[in-house]
Amino acid sequence: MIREFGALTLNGFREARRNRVSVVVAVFTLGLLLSSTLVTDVTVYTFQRVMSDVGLGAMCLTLVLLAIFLSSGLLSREIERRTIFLVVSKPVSRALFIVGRLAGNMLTLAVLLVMMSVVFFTQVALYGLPVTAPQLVAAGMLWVELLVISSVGFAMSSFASQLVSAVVTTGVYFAGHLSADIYSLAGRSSSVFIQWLGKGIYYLLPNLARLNFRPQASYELMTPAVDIAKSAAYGVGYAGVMVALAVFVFSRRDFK
Amino acid sequence: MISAAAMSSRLIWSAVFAVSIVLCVALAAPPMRPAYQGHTPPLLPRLEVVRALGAPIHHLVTDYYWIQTIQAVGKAKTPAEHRDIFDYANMVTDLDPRFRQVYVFAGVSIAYPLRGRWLNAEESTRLLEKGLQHFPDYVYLRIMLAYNLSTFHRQYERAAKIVEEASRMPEAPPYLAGLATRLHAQAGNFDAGLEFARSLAESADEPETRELFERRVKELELERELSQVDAAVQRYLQRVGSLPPGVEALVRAGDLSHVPEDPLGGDIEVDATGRSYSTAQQKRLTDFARANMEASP
Repeated sequence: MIREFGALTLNGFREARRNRVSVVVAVFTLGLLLSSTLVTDVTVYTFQRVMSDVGLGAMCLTLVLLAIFLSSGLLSREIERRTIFLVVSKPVSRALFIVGRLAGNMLTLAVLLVMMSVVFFTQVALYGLPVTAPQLVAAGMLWVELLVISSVGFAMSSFASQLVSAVVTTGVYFAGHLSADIYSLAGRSSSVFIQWLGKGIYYLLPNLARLNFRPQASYELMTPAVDIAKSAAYGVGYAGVMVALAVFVFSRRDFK
Repeated sequence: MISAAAMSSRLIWSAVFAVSIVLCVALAAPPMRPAYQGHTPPLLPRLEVVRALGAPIHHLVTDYYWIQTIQAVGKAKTPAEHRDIFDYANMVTDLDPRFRQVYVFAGVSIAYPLRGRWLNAEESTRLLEKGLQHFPDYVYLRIMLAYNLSTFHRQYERAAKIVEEASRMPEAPPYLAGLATRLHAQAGNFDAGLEFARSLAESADEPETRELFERRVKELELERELSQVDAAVQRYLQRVGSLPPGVEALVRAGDLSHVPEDPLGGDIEVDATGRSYSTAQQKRLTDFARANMEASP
């Protein structure tokens, strides 16, 4: 089973490479270099903060878009191209197939994240600025955020088309960052029903703000390791729920 | 062998491509600036929209408007353009109230002097007050706010209170405590000033500091006497129509109950403009307050 899992993961990574995902890193590098040159010219005494925000923000935007694109199209594309028949005819369970494909996706995103981080931190060091621990935490926790987004994309992709999956996953991404606002806004309502509805939506949506450590990087605030571990565990847990849902739906699908 | 139809299609598309390229190049132009129709304030998006759409990259969006604030400061020439700085800075600090640098950077740039008057002072003070809500322990911000309150709004009592609180903070510069006592005097709040100066004198570790605040107590007592003489001069002037020849004339006329004593050992007199002074002091305490605020960093 481990062998099949490894093969599926590496296949996913190879497919992403064939799709020229490395271009993303090149575009990111170019964008980062250009923007930081501009930022140096137009900023006063907050250069370190702006540099950190631009680098981590660009990394987040690029990789989230890529995660949505990769995850929402993967299963539906296999079904549309009918390449799924090649897999289901082999002694590989559908659950293993889903988990293997997600692992391939996450490996691709991890490699890109590492490459972007190397570019970003090299640039920070070249400007003579310190590379801080909160910046490393923010970059690391971005991967957990990508895991959650990818798992939502996978769950959607198990029963919907690529377009629908991408639109819903993008919506979940934004709503996930605003879930705390939904909670507090609903709490202000005089209607008990609205209050419970708001709370329900809050717990249903992934709390992505909890995985966003970029503000701490801006202010160079170190979060206690326990809190980071709890947030990461929450992200992994949420992804686990989404993958399990994807497995349930995908296992019942009839491809005839 | 390429067929004639394919050949003609290729020719047509080559022509379309060439014409399109020529059009693009010919019509390419830098961004058009609208004709000048007076000043238009910055068209900023609604805060809720920016918050919702920019939630995942909140700090990147905040930094964008921070850079806009810096640009607004750089190009501001007219009072209205200086007023625009407030809109940008307000947006940045609404997005990220903990962005400390914005309050001080924009706070000093918003007010605009015009023919002896300060314009946009309200906005400048509003931004600094907003900063104080989030950074009550930021000494520099307190000094700036106290400057605005005393210079622009003549609210010496509030300014004195803000500076007095700041002077008790660990990183406060030593001159702040003295400045607070002067601002209390400027506000006419002698009891508060005296109480503060006495407590400073009592708690001072070094003899020089103690001596300084003991003198400040005397200066405040003198200022209280001088303000009473000033009030008596005004009463005399209104009744008689001319300035009194001296302090004794005020006592004789019943405007003062007794000849005031100078705690610094000098004599209290009235100058040609009707303002009282002490021979032991070059300048009155209240004359220093504003000059000191302007000299502060």
